[in-house]
Amino acid sequence: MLPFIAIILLFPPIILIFSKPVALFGLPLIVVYLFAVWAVVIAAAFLLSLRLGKPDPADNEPG
Amino acid sequence: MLPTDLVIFVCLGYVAILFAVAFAGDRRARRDPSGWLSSPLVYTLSISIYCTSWTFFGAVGSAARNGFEFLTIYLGPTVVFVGWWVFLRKLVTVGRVYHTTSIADLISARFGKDPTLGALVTIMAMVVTAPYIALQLQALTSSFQVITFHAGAVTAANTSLEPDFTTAFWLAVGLCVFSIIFGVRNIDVNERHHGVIAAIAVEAVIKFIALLVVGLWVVFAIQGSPAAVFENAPDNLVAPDDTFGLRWITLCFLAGAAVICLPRQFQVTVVENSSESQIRTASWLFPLYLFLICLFIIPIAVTGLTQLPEGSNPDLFVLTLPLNADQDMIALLAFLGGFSSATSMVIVSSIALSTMISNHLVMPLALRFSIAPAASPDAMRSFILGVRRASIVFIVFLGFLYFFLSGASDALAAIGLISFCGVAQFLPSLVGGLFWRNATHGGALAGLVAGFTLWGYTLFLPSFGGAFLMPESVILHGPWGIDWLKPQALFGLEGVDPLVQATFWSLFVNAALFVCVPMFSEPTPLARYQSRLFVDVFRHQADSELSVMRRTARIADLKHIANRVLGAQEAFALFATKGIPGRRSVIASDELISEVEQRLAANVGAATARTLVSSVVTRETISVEELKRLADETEQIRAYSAELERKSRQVEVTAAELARANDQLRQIDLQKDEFLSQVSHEVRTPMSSIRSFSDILLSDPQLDPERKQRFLRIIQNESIRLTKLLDGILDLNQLENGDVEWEVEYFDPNSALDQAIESCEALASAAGVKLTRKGKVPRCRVSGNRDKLAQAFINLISNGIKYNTSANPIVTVSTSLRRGVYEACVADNGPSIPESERERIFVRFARGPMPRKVGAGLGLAISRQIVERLGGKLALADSKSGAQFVITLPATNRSPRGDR
Repeated sequence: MLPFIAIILLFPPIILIFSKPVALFGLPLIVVYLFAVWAVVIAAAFLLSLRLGKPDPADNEPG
Repeated sequence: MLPTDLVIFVCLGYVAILFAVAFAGDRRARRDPSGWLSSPLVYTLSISIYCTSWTFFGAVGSAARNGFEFLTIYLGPTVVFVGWWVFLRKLVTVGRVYHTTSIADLISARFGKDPTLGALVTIMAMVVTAPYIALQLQALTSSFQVITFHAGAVTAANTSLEPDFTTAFWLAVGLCVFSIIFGVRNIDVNERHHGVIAAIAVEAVIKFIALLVVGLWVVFAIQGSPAAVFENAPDNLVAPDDTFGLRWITLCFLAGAAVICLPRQFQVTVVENSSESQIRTASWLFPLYLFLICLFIIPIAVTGLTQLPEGSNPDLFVLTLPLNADQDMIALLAFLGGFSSATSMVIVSSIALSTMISNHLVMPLALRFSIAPAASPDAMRSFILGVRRASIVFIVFLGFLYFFLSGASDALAAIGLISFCGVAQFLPSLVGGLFWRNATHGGALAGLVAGFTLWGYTLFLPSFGGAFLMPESVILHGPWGIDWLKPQALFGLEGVDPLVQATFWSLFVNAALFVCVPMFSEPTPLARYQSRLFVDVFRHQADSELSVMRRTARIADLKHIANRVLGAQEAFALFATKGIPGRRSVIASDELISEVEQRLAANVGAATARTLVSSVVTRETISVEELKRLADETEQIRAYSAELERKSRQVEVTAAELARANDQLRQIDLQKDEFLSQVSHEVRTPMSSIRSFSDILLSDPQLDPERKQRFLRIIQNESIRLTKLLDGILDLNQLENGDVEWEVEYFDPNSALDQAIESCEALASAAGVKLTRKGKVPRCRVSGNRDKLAQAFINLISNGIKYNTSANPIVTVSTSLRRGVYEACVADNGPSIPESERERIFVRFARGPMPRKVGAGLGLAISRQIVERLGGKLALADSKSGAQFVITLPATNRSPRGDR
């Protein structure tokens, strides 16, 4: 699911909503939006990887 | 300006550190293969060679020129890694399980270990990578020139410098030396290079820190706060209007494809991978790395645009900003960051490509034309190593040559995206190969060739602006002036960005051919087998090749080959661990042959290894049955589950039927119980009166004779009634079961009726009922038993007599014969039978609504059974008053045997 949500949020037309000359905390909205979505996606991936895997000792192939 | 000597000294020191790290990494890895060098962190850092100097310097330039567009290059890979389990996991697992050595190896192995495909992919990768290496060399030299320029960095960045080819040359030499020493020292079955990876990880950290330091310095020392950065930002960084269009999507897609398909990315992501936990960590850590790298790109770009004089090269802002502010240390760090990002890219690319060139281009040719030395066991091995070393030199200097020829022209700046589009051509074969069972070698080949050609025609050649192969007139007006063949507006597709257009056409044709060609061709058995291995990699890891491939070879021959390629020592070790006795005549097992082939594949590529092994294999059969079994397994499972579903539906239906039958049985059981209780009730009444009267007679001998007589009569009457009742039950039972054979004859039903009326006359006169007979019909015949039919009539008539409560009781019997149907009607003028009772009265023991009169309640049931047995019907006709029973029987006019 995660990559698809990321794609939807980062591709037009959704992204066009945020492409306005509006400032948020003194930063352009689009900058805040892009990096916020990015950060959330990374955080979600991090949580997901924690959930998915207690690392399995069996798949540590020597090499 | 920094003194040249200092810069060179720092560079050399840095390189020395890299050498030390690589050396230590190699040694450590040999001692402890699963140590921290295989940790997910190092793995992730090695993947970050994705950020080359094109990122380090170029991203800022791109942000300054095109706004947010640079972000796509990092968002694409983010999506790919965050969704690692969709594709990356399978790719990496295939690479790990089947010891893939390069992207060419994977594609050629997937499509039947085909040498042509491997060679094609290698050539494509070379064409795409050489300009990319040239770009790194250019970045290295120009950053070196700027940082050491005597008139100051800002002036340097403003004037167009003649590229310093001497510096570039020595850089190239240094990179070759490093790559050769750590990349081609050993040939390993897994083709992993721990020393190089360790060094790459260090470089990733350096460039990360460098960019972070520059970024922090710009934001907090120069601008003061993040908000201040955007006060003077150009429009395209604040509110971009047309950034997020087709080009945005295309670039995201290309970057996502490139992070898998670029030979160097494939090398670090797939080939160097040793466990799934690595990729699991990288799935978030690598995007995080990209995120942090990108965080400061925009502030640096904005600051550069606003603070440096007009016309400064935005590609070098990272370097010129600190120099402009006389922050020499930061500038040096930035230079080092750029240096490390460029060198790491060149090193890994050249190693990856050298493996591809030697395995897929040189070795197949060398073996075919017998150039490879076969004299001594070690000669072949050193030949392979020599080829790889030469390949590295060849690649790096191909890049150098490209740089030398194109000079400082702008052609290089765009090469990053052009390369991305080029390697994206591998994507259909790669994805299709891993997920689509029926993909064939022909489809992959056609797709790759067509896609690559279109890429060259629409993107690569026009990028030279008419300087190379394609003259400017062709770019502007199409070849021979044919308008619709214009490279940048193919088929009249005007007004679309050339990159978007080229990506669309090349990948569209590529994928279309990849999908369509298999419809007209059949994969070879080997390709089919490989496709099963790759597509079902998660399901069949334990399945070995043995059951499918049956090959016969002499061990001595195998050993000979192994000796030649692997070297005596390794070959001996390989055969020793297998515990194979060294006798000549011993035939090698399938397992051993596969093992040897796999080892060889690491050295010379899957296709060549197969050719080599095939040369000594005397007999090879791919068991078609086994193959079918394996290939069909999915189908079988599907069919099996469908079968199960069908069966469970059947079971459900059967269960429902059983439940229904059970219900019926219960009902019958209930009826039986009811019947029994009715019978016992019926029997009990006469029995109890018989018993009580006999008790009286026995206990009182002095009873007067008259009363005695009366009691005895009652006893007799009750016994008679009891006998009748039991007879009736017996009759009914026999009739219902149909066990008794009747004497069948043809008779006149009127005679049976006459008989019945005769029998009932006494009863009728006793009850004062008038019995009349109307409408005597002509003689006819029915088949059956006269006495039984008479019994049915008697039952009906006596019922009419018994239950007639009318003041002037009459029972009328009438008959008629119509169209072969004999109809007898017994009507009375007694009470009529209510609608609700009409069917019930035919049930055993059911009596009419006449509580006063007591009968067994079997008469009508027996009569109906008799009539039905005769093939007729007994029903209650509608009548206004009284009850009217009608018997209809099929009749013939004449008996074939005559009347009795």
